[in-house]
Amino acid sequence: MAVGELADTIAGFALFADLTTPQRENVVDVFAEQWFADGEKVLRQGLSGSGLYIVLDGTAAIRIDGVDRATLRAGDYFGEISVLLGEAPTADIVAIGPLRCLVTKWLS
Amino acid sequence: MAELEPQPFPPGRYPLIVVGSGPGGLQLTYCLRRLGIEHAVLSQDEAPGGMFRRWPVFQRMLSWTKPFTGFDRHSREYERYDWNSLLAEEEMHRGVMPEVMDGSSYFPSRPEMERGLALFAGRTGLRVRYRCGWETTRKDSAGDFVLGTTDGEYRAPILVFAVGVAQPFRPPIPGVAEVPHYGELRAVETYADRRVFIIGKQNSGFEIASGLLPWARQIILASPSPAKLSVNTHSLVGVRARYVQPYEDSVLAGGVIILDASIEEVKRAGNTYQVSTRNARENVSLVVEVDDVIAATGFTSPLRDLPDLGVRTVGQSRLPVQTPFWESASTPGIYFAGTINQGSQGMMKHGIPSNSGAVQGYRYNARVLARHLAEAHFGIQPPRRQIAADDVIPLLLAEARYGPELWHQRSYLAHVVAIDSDRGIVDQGITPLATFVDSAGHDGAAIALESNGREDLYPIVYVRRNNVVTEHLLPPDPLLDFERDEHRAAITAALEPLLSPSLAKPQR
Repeated sequence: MAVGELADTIAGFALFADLTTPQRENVVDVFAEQWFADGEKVLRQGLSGSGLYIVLDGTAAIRIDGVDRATLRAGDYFGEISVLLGEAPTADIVAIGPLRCLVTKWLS
Repeated sequence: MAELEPQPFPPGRYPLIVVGSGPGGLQLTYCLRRLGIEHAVLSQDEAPGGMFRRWPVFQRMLSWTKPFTGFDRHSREYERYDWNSLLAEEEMHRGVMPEVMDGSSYFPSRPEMERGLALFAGRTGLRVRYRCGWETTRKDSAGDFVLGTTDGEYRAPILVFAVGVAQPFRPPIPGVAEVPHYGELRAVETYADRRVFIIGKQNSGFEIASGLLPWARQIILASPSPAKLSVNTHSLVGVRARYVQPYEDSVLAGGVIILDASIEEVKRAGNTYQVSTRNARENVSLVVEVDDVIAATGFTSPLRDLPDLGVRTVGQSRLPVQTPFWESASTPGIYFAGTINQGSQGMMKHGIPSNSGAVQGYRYNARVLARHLAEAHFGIQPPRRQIAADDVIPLLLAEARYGPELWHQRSYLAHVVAIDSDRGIVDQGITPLATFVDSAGHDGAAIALESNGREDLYPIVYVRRNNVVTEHLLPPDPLLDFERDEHRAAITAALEPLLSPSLAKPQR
């Protein structure tokens, strides 16, 4: 999907609601689009080096020690604690059906 | 040579068809043949080499081949230093590239690369039906895929597309459709004393800027995000050092200008262009007048009608979304090889992608893919050797130090050993790391190399026990020797719960 379309998609998310279109395009530029198949893991409990994700389409489960605790939907984000503190995620995030996300690219 | 022989693979049904004769297609057909898998290879080109028959524009590769390393050029260890040769089982066919390079640079020239690929294809007897263009794809009632080609119809239950990512992409910005793309650059002397605006700050943009330094009066490079440099990211993310000269010229105020701005419009005005840019962060708009505009805005993969068959794509490059074994995640039976493998993202640890976009990465994917195809679709089980418990740690540390798959595909390919209750400890060889980490299976361990984008790389061991995976980072080493006592101690501690029951059990 092109930058402009992604910027339009995130316009509806509370996280980016206050930004102008050029600002949203800038935001999109630091993310990569990723797509996950049903059952695929996005984040892995206990494994370091994960990124910040924003759900564009679809749903994902927050799974701790194999038990689903909550569901993530379009506009939700996850992985921010790991990125900010450099710690491994405390849960698996698993795609439930097809899932499309934005993920941070290499961070300096 | 090949031209005098009748074209192989006439239209018909085959167990598997590979499309493409670039390095990705050549490496895969080589590996499939060694496993005895019958297949056809079709290519629209006239000769092997893929995009390297035309590009890079400035005729030299970005991937090096070091002639002198202390390792025999036909050894597996040498592959770490030779990013360009295709892989072979027979020693005599390994390390082709240093043989064809003239010593003027450790980056082969484009013609040297093309010659190296053709030599490999010739010496290993690879067969390709050239000048056979794939045009359409559909599925028949029997479940076969049907390829419509310029030579007629082909059928197969399994297809592998190795068709590259070299179709020019232009973003939907007003006026950009009319400016030349990277591959349409004119002869450099025609840019003499001209003002050139390059859209894009990736390697292709910087490659053009580097080539035009002795010619252009002014060069402006622009895109929304600041340029990243590989020397800062400790990875292939960012502009390679070869092309950093325009960056230095810019920071030393030599005449190159680097703008962090989005391009809003390119307008022709007589013999010049007006380019409107906008920096969203600082809310600054700028219109610049230049004589030439070049779109170094990336490439997409030429998937033709595959999306109509359900092949899902992702990102601006429209790469097909792939499983860890490079099968379309949405259309089973369709696989990918070569640089399109970038669409199988792997674990993206620390935000760093795999090297699957480059020969030195995807040549290993092809070998793993061939073995996977053999096992999953052809009932062929390539042998896997049993190893003694005492040999596990030396094997894994030697792989961390010398295994070229681990060096070139960090946090993407791993060397795996499994503890099988029937067979004891089995060396599983090279496996996609995501498969080991995410799948249920035997207890075992995987070793990989990891870059965190800031520091030197280090080995990392993943231990799977009762289907719970833990990671154990081994220390980095200033001389990249991962077989020191501290590494042995760290890996011994990590594998202790796994190996102590095996050590207690007699080896069968």
